[in-house]
Amino acid sequence: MKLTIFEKFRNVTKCGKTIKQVFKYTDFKIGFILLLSILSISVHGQFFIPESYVRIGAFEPSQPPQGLNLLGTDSFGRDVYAQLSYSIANSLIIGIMVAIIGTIVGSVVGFISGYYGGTLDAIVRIIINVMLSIPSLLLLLLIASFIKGALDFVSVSLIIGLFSWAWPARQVRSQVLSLKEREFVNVAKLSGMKGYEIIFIEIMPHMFRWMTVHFISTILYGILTESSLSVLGLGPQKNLTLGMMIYWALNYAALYRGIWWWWTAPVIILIILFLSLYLMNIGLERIMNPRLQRVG
Amino acid sequence: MMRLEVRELTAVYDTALGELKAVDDVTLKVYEKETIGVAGESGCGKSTLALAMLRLLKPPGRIKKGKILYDGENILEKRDEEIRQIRMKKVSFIPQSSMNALNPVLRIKDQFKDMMVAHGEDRNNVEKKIEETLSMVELKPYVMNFFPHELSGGMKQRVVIGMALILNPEILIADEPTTALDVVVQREILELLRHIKEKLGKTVILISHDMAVQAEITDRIAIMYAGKIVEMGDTMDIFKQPLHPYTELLISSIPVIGRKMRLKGIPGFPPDLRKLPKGCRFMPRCPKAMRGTCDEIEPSLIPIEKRREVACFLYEGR
Amino acid sequence: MSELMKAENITKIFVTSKSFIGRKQVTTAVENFNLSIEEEKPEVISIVGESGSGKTTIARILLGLIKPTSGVVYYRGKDILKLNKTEQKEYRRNVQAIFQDPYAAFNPLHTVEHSIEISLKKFGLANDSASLRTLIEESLQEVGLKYNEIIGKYPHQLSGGERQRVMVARAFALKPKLIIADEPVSMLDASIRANVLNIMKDLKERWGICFIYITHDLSTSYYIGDRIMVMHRGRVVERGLTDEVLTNSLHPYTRLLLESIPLPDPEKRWRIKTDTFGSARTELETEETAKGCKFYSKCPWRMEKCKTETPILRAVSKSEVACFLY
Repeated sequence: MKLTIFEKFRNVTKCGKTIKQVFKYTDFKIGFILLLSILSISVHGQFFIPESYVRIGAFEPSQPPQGLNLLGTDSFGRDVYAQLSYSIANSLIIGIMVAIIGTIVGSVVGFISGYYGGTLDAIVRIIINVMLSIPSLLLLLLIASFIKGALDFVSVSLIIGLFSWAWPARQVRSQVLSLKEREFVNVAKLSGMKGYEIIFIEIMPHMFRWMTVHFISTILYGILTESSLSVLGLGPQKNLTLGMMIYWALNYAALYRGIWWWWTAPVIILIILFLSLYLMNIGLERIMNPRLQRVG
Repeated sequence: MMRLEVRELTAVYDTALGELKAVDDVTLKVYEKETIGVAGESGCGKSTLALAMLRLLKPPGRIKKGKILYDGENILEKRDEEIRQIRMKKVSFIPQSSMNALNPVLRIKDQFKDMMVAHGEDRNNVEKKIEETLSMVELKPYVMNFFPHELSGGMKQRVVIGMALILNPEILIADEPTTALDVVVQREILELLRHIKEKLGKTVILISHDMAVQAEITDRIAIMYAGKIVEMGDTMDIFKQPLHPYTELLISSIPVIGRKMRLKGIPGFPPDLRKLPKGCRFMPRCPKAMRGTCDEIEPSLIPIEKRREVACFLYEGR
Repeated sequence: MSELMKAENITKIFVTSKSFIGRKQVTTAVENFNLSIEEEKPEVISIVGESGSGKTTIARILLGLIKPTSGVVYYRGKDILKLNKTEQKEYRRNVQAIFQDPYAAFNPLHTVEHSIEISLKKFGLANDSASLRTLIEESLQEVGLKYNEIIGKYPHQLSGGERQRVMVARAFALKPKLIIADEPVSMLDASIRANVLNIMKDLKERWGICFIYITHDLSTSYYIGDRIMVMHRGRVVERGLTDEVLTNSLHPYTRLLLESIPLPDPEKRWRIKTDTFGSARTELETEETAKGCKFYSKCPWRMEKCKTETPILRAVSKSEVACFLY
């Protein structure tokens, strides 16, 4: 009965079953398909369209969709479609980075603080409460405006991440507080398991599904927040993200000058991206709850 | 006089893996002013039977066939409003772990009020009744102002019994009323039930897996196994001479202070109700099983003496 | 003979509510508890008491899961809270437990053998899958379960009795010297209890394992116990050999417990009315009375002395009792 760690992980967290189940839901399926379409645009753009298309002056500026330029060009003569492909990837990467900081770091903090308790927990609890009561967007704006010039990918992700770890930490912590009182944790202690083993092997699997749902919604949060910052001029100016595209478009009066293809493309993609992640999440969340009802 | 009759009742649960017959063709007659016990291990169907008797079975459970007659009328054919008149007013119920069924944010008197108003009583006249009921269950009237968490386990159980009595039903169905209670409190609650039967003339149906508890207060007992009644008779007779092997094992598995012999216990485990064995359901665990008979046909419940019935091939042809 | 385990004057006080103004409310769960278990002398010691008597707290203190407020638990002469890593491992291995709730004791997301596997691996008793399998098979066999019927199943797929047996198998697999069983059969049907109790008896006789059997049920403690300690609200009120204490009980509380046991014999129904003893009718969640006998309010033989002075355990005939009647 030898199982590899991977197989054991799969069994305990029931991911195989979950994946099969979740695909039965229409909302998840639609979301997934939308996400795939967006990803394929990005992949297509990055692999099949020459990189030169994104350089300034590559084409005639402000041209509507025609010929080689599927979505036209912007005021700098850059191909919009090509920009879009890179922007999608970058926005997603930022979203994922924020989710890693938010969900994963936040959860780890929650696990450790909740399980070990004591002074560490008391301190963490205060920090969490403080972080949660601060109006994050305002502070983000403040911080971003201070570092204005030097903002890049990573720093933007870090800053947004700073404000997204507190909530999962609190959720995980409160669950751990109740789970650690359960008898099987005592049995685990008597079986010789150490603290971190108990957290990872006995307690974490209970939170796994929640963490997955939260991870995806944090990706969403990350993308949206970054877009908001970018549109306000506080984003990673040297990089191309969906938000940055909108920023440049707005700054060069695309609205007034009727260069609609420049700003509608990223806006629509953003909306679809949002929708796809949101729908996938709804599907996943629905599985989380009915699972609790089992016919004994 | 017969007050409640369960006739050929079959109640099932619809599960993903098939239909589970929790109660299989059970016939039970309950007479006025008697205390009848329904005994058996967990999963034998006794709780399902109790719920069915009050039409409280919720999906995935349902009554598949049979009749439940109260004073001659089949309650399975009544409308919902009529049933509500019967529940708590004519037949009332004390569920398992009922102490946990009290609403933690309401005072005791408000819980009584809510229930009484829901059954048509006037909101303003209830306090006196509550006082009377509380003293009937041997609680001081001031208890009604407390919250559940301020009371001990035994007191909560008394409150629940009071709630079951307040609308003056004639029949009381108690489902494992003493599990989770300490032995001293258990005794008090059982004596209370006996007092209710004697002083107030109620009919009590006591559901419990604990044969010692059954011995203390019942007049007759029906023993269930895997959804069927396997033996029925007067309590005295059943304990003096248990006929069905299962009954015998149930009684002898109780440790008694002073007895040193090794307890027998019942080997094996109750059957999966979705995949019942052919023939007698108890056969795989029965020390007196007869190959060729017990594994071929199911024994039916047959009367042996005047007030005794057994479903076992050891007694066929008597 | 040396001592395997010794509990010396264990007291545990829980703080039930704190407030900035006014006193803290405390509950004394256990008061001055003493117990001594010798090596190489397999016996079953029952600790009997109702809920609130402190018996579960004692179990947890003996297992090292909670720290006592005062007093020390010694394992082979050393304070269990001061053991070094190797000693701790030895202690953990030799002092195992069986818990009350056969459902809660298993992690619903893992198979039932998960905890047995981990125990065996952690204590170095099985290093490869072959020996792991053999050991698990043996342990399951010892409790009357078949390997193939149990392995791979999740807790909800087994009955309460089966789960409890797996619990026993888990404790047994490490071949401990002492198993602390906290109400192991209370949540099982009466007919299944006998099986599990017999298993425990056999383990003691065949493998020389000591048991501390914690229960509220005097009948089962009579069945498997050699020694017995009766507890009431945190204090030991009577103790001695099971036979002696239960057939010639001295303390009024022990007598009350004995009286309240329902017998599976309709001809031997309760005769003495409960009014002899004060009852649960008048008892609300009570406050602490630091001095005096805690059984005062219910004792039919109470004296003035009992209200103000705390009785201590004293040897009377063949047992020890804490009561001013003696």
